[in-house]
Amino acid sequence: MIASTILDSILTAPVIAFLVALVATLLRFEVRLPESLYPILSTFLLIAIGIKGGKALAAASPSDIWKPLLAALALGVITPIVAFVLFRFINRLDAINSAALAAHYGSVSAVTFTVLLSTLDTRNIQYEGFVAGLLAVLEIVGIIVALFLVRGNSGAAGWKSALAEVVRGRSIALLVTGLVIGAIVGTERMAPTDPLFVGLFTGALTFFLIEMGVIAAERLRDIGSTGIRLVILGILIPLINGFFGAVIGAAAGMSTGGIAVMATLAGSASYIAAPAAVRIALPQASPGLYVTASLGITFPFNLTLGIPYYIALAQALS
Amino acid sequence: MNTTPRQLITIVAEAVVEKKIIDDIKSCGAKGYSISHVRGEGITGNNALDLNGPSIRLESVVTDKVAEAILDMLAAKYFGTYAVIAWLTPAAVARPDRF
Repeated sequence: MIASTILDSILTAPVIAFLVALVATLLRFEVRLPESLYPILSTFLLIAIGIKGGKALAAASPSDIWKPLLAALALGVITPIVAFVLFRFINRLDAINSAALAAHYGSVSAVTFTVLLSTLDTRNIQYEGFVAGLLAVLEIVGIIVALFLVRGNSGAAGWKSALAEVVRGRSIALLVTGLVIGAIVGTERMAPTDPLFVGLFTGALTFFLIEMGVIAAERLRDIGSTGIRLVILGILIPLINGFFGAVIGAAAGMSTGGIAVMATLAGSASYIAAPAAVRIALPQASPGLYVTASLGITFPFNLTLGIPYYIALAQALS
Repeated sequence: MNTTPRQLITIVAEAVVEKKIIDDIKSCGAKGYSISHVRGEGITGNNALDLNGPSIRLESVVTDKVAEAILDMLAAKYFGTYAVIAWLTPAAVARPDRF
């Protein structure tokens, strides 16, 4: 039963594409996509997720949204603090590296989120369509909270300019562009664009995850130099934060799929927005630690075992 | 043709500081610059930084005084914490008023 649920979640085109590329890269095959494809695919995916969320926002009433939004804000505060405490006291890292890691675990991975949505769609589990809006909120809040923990230690540029970097950075900007387009135009009038933004979505995601498999494999090679505690926490923190996400999502009265989304948002770690912000705000922190943990450990864990765990939590709580 | 001596300053930096370095060299008195994306390896060898984009190579032709101001600024704000290197090359320019 459990094994078949896990298999159901793993046997989707995006996840298998990721695993094949990851293993092939570890075996030193040159799977890498042409360089220009990565920004094109990530741009397409962010705008398409945004449009999907925007269309749902247009159809939702404020009373549907305020509880999940509050729940997302609460998670944005809780998840970086959990990560900070664990890295500081179990991994015995200094405050700056702990905060740098907390920013990554407090923020979210849009790719993990997207793979979850695609898995929920294939398994016919319903979720609130506006969750892409929560993705945008959580991507920022966790970073703010984590940087605030060590605000006295900011580098030359200061933590405020790091925040400007996240808020105006490409990933949030493209996601919000999609959200606004979808919310203004609405589902019916967006229909002519569906062949591109809906029809090609899973195909593009699969394509993109081949590249992600390559990137994750390259980071996975660095694990030897970071120590076993980082690996354990890279798996333990998503389990703990995912649990908080599911409980808070259930308390906000969300659907089964919605609870799985909250668990995934809470359990995933950022590796695009957070590294850029942390590099500016905390240049003393070691990228070898935070990029390896979020991209080399937590991301592959979430795509394979994390997502089935978050869905199982959601099913148990709803 | 008559030429005037100037300094070509070349800065290679991790992607994340691009905007800041541009602002900073301008406030040191640089009047223009060119940027290209580059690949490579240095003594830190930290390719975990690649996710923020490819490293940049910024070139600007400036007077001796501005070149010195830029190097001092880089030493104070960047060398300690970011993957940034810089060097000067003597240059002979036409139209010295542009640099």
